Amino acid sequence: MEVIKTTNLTKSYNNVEVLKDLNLSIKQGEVYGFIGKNGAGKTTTINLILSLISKDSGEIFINSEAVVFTDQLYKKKIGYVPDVPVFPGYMRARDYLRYTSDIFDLSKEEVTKRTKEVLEFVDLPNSNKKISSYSRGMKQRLAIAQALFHDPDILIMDEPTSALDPIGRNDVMNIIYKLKGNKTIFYSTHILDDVERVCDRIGILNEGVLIYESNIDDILDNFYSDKIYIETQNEAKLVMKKIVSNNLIKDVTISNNGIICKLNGDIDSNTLLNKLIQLDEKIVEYKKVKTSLEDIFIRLTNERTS
Amino acid sequence: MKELLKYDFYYLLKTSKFIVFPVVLILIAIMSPLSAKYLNEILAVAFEGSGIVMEFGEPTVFDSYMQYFGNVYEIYLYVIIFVAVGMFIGDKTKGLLPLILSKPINRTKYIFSKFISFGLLVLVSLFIGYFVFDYYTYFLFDEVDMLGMFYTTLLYFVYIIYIISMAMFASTHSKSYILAVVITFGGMILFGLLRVLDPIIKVLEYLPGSILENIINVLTGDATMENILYNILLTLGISTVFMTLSIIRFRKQDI
Repeated sequence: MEVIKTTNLTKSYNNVEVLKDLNLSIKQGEVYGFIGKNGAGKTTTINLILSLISKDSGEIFINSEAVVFTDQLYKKKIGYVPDVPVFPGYMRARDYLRYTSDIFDLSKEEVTKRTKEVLEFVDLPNSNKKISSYSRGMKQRLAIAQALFHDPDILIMDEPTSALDPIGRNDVMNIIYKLKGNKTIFYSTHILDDVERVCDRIGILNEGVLIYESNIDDILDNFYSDKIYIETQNEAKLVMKKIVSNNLIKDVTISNNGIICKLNGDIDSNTLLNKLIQLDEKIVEYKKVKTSLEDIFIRLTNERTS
Repeated sequence: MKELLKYDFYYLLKTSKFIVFPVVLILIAIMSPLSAKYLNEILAVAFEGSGIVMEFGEPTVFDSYMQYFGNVYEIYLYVIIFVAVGMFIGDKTKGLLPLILSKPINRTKYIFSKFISFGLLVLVSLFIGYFVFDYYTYFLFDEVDMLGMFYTTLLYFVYIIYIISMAMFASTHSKSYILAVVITFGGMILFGLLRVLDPIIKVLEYLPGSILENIINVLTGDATMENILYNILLTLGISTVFMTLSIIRFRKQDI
C-alpha cells in the first residue's frame, strides 16, 4: 500500500518552478531516501506534504486520501522532524511533549507512559533542563521524540542530521535505524552515507525533477564500477609506471598503498591480473572498487545538468 | 482549541506577561489618583520662590479619572501593541510555526487562541487595575463612581479588542516584527485622522478613536446611549473585519 503519493506536484516561487511534476510513491514500512543537492526542492516537497505551503498543481495522497490544504486531520498519522528544530526555549522537554499530547488528545496515563518511552527511546532522559540549554543534537532528538509521541504511521524527516556534529549525527542515525521496519520513513538528505546505511529505496531530486528512483541494492548493482584497486608489494608509483607503460589501464590515481584505475579498451580484469603476475608483481590486494552512492549521485546529477 | 489556549496561556505565564500586565496596571492605578491629588502641591512647592505665580483649583475625583484613563490610553496601549504583535509574529520569526503547524492544528483556531488568551489577560488586568484604582481614589478623594468606572473599563476593553485585532492583521500581513508594529500604529493613526471627516460622513464620529471621549462622557454623566452603542458596534465591526482578514490571510499563507 502507498502511504505517501504525489502526482504531478508542482510549485513555483516568484515564477521560478522549484518542483516540476513530481510523482512520488512511498510504500508502507519502507525507508525512502529523498536525495538532492541544497535547493533541489526536498524541503518544498515536505512542506507541501505537510500543507505548510500550498501547491500550484498536482495531488498529494496520504494513505490513498487526497490532501486538502485546509484540512489538518490527516496529520494525525504523521510525525515531522525538521532540519533545525525550534522549540520554545522556556519549556522543558516534558512540557513540550505534554503540549503535543494535548493536540493528539491522549489520556493522562498514556501521556505519562509515552513521555517516558519516547524520551528513553531518543536517549533524553534528563528532561528537567529548559530546552534553551539543549545542544543541537539534543534538540534534534527531542524533535524525533515529539514526532514519535503520538505513534504515527509515517515519519517525515527533513535533513535531520545536516546541522549535527559526527556524534550527534550518529545518535540520530541509530534512532532511525531502530525505527526501520516499524514506520514508513520519508527521509530527505544530502548526506549519502546516511542513505546507504538506512534506506530501502531512494529517489534523486535534481532542480525540482525526480531524475532517478530505485531500490538501493539495484542502484549499486546497476551503476557498477569499472574501477579496480591494485596493491602489490612494490611501491604504488612504480606499479603505476609499469602498467601504464604497457597500455593496460587509464585514469589512474594513487590510493593508500595501491592504485585505482580503469581498464583500457578490451582488456578484462583477468587479463590484467595475469599481466601483473607476468610482470613479477607480488599481489597484495586486487579488487573491483565498490560504487558509492555519492558517485552515482554525482554522475546522475551531472548528466542531467549537462 | 483548548490545547492551543493552554499553550498560549503557558507562553504568557512563562514569559512573565501574566505578572507584567497586571503589575503595570496596578502601578498606573496607584500613581494616577496620587498624582491627581498631589501634583498641584508638588508643582506649587517646585515653583516656590521662583517668582512664578501658579494657581491651581482643588483637585477632584474627575482629575483622578482623567489621569488614569490618560495613562491607560497611552502607556498601557503601547505595551499592548508591542506584546500583541510579538505574540503572534514571534512564532513565525523564531521558526516555531512549522513544527506547530505540522500537527493537526486548525489555523483559524490558532489565530483565535492567540486573540482570546491575550484578550483575557488584558481584561483580567484591567479589572485588577479597576479595583486598585477605585480603592485608591476612594482613599484619597472620599468618593468614587464604581459603576461608572466599571462601564468605562468595559468600554476601554472594546477599544483593546480593536487594537489586538489590528495587531493580528498586521502580524499576518507582514514578515517582520517592526513592520507589524508600524502597521498597527499607522492603522490607529489613520482611523484617528478619518474622524476629521465626520461633519461630512456622520458615521465616522463613531470610529474607535471616539471611545476615549465616550469614557469621559460616561464619567461626567454626559454620555448618550445612542452614541455609545454606535461607537461600540462600529469598533467591534472593524475588529471583526480585521480578524476575518487575518484568518483569510493566515489560512492561505505559506509558512
